[in-house]
Amino acid sequence: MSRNSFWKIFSVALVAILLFTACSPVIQTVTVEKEVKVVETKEVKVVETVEVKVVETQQVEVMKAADTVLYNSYNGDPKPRAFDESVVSMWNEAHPEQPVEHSIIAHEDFKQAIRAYLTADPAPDVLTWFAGNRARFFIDKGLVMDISDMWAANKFNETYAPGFQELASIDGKQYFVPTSYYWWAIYYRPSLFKQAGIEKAPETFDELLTACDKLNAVGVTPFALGDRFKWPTAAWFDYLNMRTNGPQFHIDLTDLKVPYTDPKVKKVFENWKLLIDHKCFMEDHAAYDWQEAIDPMVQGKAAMYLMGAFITDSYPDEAESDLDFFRFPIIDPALPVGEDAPTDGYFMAATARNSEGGKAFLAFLGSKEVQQKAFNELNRLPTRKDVDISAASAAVQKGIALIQSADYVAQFYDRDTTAAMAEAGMEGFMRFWSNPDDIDAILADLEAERLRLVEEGN
Amino acid sequence: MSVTPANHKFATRTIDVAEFFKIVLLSLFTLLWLVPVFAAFITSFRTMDDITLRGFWSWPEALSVTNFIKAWGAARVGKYLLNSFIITLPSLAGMIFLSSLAAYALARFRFKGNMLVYFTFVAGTMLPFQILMLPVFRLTNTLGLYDTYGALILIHTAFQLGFCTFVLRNFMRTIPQDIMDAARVDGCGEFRIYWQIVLPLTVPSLAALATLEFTWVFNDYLWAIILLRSDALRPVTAGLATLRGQYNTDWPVITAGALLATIPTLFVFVFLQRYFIQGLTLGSGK
Amino acid sequence: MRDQTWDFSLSSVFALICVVILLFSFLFLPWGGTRLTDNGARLVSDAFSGAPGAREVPLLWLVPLMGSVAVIFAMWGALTPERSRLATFISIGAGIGSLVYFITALGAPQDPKFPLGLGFWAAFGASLGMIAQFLMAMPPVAAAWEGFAAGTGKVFRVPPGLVPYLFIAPALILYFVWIIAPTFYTIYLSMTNWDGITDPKFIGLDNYIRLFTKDRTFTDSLWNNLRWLVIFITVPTTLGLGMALIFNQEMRGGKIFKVSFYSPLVLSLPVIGLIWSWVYNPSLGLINSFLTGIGVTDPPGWLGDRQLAIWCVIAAAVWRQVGYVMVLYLAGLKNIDPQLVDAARVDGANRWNLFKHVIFPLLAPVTTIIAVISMIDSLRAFDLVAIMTRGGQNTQVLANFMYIEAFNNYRMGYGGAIAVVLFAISLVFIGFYLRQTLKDELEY
Repeated sequence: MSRNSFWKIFSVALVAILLFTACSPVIQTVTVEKEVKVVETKEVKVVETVEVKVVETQQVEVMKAADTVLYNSYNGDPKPRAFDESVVSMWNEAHPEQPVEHSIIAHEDFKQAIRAYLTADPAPDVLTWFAGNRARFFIDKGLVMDISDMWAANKFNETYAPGFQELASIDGKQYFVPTSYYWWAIYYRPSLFKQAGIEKAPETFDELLTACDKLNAVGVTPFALGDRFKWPTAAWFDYLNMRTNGPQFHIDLTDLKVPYTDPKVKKVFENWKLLIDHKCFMEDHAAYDWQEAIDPMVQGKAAMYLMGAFITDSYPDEAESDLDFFRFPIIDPALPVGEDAPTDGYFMAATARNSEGGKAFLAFLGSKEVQQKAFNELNRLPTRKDVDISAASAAVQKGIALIQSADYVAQFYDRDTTAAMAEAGMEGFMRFWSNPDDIDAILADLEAERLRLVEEGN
Repeated sequence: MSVTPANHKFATRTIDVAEFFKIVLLSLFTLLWLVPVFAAFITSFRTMDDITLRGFWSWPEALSVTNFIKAWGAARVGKYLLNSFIITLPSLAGMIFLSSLAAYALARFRFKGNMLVYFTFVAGTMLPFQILMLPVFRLTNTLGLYDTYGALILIHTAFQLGFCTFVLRNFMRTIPQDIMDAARVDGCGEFRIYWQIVLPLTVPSLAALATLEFTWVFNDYLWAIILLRSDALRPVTAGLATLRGQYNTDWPVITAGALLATIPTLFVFVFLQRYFIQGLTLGSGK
Repeated sequence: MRDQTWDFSLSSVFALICVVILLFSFLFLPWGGTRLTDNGARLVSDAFSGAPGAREVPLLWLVPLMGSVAVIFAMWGALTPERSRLATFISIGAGIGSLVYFITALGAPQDPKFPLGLGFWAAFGASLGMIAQFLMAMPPVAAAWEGFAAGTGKVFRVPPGLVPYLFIAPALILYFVWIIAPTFYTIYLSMTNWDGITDPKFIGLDNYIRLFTKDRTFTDSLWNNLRWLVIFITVPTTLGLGMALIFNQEMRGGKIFKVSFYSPLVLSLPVIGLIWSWVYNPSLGLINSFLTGIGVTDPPGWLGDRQLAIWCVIAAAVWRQVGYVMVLYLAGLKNIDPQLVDAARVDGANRWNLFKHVIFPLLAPVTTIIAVISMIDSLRAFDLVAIMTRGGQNTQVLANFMYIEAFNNYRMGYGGAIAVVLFAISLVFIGFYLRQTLKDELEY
């Protein structure tokens, strides 16, 4: 090794590399002398196509040989995931010239990442999301593409149920394709009811309290609950509020129009406390994940669970024959009946590069074919009127009847209200569990959060 | 524990009792440490229905490798692992090269701003990285690096520079200045002193650092969530996280995938352990 | 060719540079077109996983393969001059290997939508460089180089005062762009009401005022972080040190014990969170099964108990940390000169005194780094909380609170303020360490 400094080696090496790089096109002509002509003739032809294509391909990702559609979804659950993937491969088989590039991330992560997605370059063309307030937030910020033309071209305004059309539109323009929903209800084990001497599923609040007492008398916990991650508790608030004060009050509250310190809200928690006093809930429920809280039910230690229809995906198949559900009991018969039925769907990013392909794929996702498939395979209820639901099982028919008989359909607490309010609200409900007498302080905190959000203009 | 040399007669017995207690205590602790790990291992061979029906700590009804097959195939753990390597190895090389350069200057020279730069690096190790997520996302997006391996490589390299520089500088300080001064007298340039004298002496520390950093970068997943969009680029931790559902999660498959994902880390530990033991000495007791 | 004038050390350094350029272009630069997302790595990755619409790029995998092989040998060769000849030959081989791809690619018809990009040309040049570098080892070239270097060396000598800055510059520039500038940007954001989408509005110190006067969650999180910090600095350190002292002596089965203590390190955090929530499960969990087994009638609800939950999460974190501390202390103990210990023994020190006056002081540097790591980990504590409780049951910690405010509640400004406070607290702790360093430096 010579005695000179390495710095110079580096600099000379860099210069040499640059020289090589600069020279390389020359080398190319030398090494492939024979082929140059071929390439040239081809290039002449190609120039024409370039000029034609430039107009339409300007926005398409250069990377791909075909014009791909970028699709990001949050279906991490085993069954919906398999469904999602099969829908994409159905599309890809039918449209090899415009394949969908599909990426799934976990639901929780998707909620955090969506803001990055919508402002990123390249943004996904098509995304999964919740209908209602959560979609509205992004529409208001101008991050969602107007898909009215696709909506009209595919006659969605004739085939979609009116309520869902409303959910998709703002000021007469469509931004969202709601595709499926599922119901919430009180799931229970008929065999345990029989054992406790309960003849029929409770229809009123008093009957529910009596049922709880009877179950406790035979040593069965009335309700399973696993709210370590808070949200299963929000269902209790939704239903108790809708049954105590009516759906309209619930809408106003989740829209942040009514103060949480309203005496009506306090009445909800008084009813809730009745349930606690009747020892309706299993002990230490905040220690369990909702899936873990199925265990006591399967093992016959708990009889009921207020949960969404997806409970059957986690419930062991062997035990499912002894599982049924009923509507959340009525508290005030004078009030209209509201139900929770979260609706999922799709929308497009405002900056989508492949807007044509995206819209075509969106039309496919909202088509009768796909909704039928979702209904058959996932028991997700269709938003289209023309899906054939006659072949459904008795349980699914019952679920459909449950929603259709409702006067108002809510999404769910954390979808109806803003994300920040949902976070604070659910934390408040959890505090209520461990200290029901603290309710005034809790509601004061929730009201403070509401006022802050109103002030922030959300 | 006091074994007085005077009582030779009783000494052996006392030692035996102490030894006995030590073994018992250790076994208890070991049990406490191994049971959860073992439970994870068993879980990866069960089905979710089996767990729901019989409880997590029950004796499994049947064991099968389906979860591993599912994780490798349907959940694409193989592909994700490759991505993890594509991201981790260049990051490691980058951070170690750049931080050893900086550490060399910080350890060897007295110059204006030496302490300031050092403090900046050390303070940076204390940053809660979530603070950087949105600004870094915007920077990445503006540079056109969003949704590339490069985005992750750059942020990992940059973020770990602080810690690496901190460790390497402290290590390099323990290398006697005489060695470098002697080389200088021989007419070596500074870069050559760094490259051919200091760096080889630092190898144990570099290896230890590489082991630590490998596990950190390899196990990261939040950056991958924010800086990547495509499934095709995702590292293994982020890829496995996608198996978590909104409502239903097949934990045995996730556990199986996670166990597969630890194999590289295990390898790194086993192979670099020799260095590791000599490595993070920071000059103690030399 | 054992001719003395062939000088491979120079050419292997040159080869290393070429390989690094090759890999860099492959990973970072547009292989076709001008977008950085269209880099070579992405092309191979897509083709490999059969992504829909993936572009066919035959033989492109040769480039990363050859590059990775060559970079290992080139580094080896550049570091140890005796090996540089081998490194040179391998580099030539790898260069020819990747040239196979480049020639095929140039010979194939070009897609006008996807013209060959900067990355392609740079990597092509680099692969030619990998082959041509042997020229630099040829006697006449080496001699000429020597003469050239001797001549220019005097003209281009770097001023000695500039040398340290040149060493620091690459790291510092990267650090500045990716870490320091974003940090300051966040400090600015913490004084706005930014939601992450629309334009931020400056609101002064409002966020901070709210944090310290109105926000209960903030104070709760702060307390939880302090609990975490106190436990983390004391428990794993003592346990880990104890284990390390035990395992440092030869003992039967020592290896099995050792491995068991650091086995949690290789488990990923979601799995740890999952297992521990099963350990804590009040009805079927390990702890309560044991407690009811020995006759406790009303065992606690662990994660379901607002008072206990945070300690449960910390315990799981400690469980993970002990092995890590033990490994670090073992590393430190291995480096203690046995003569020092023997000398102390001869002087009649008993075990405790030996530990107190000889071993522990010698371990001081390791203890320092463990303290720093524990501090960082406890203040940045995030993963286990997010996985085990998502901040419920009074387990919220600052990092997770910040993440939820910023990313879930769309209050980037407010989240920024939490992060700044967290950082400020960290700085107070690191301040003690830095003051000590500064004192030592001044004495030095």
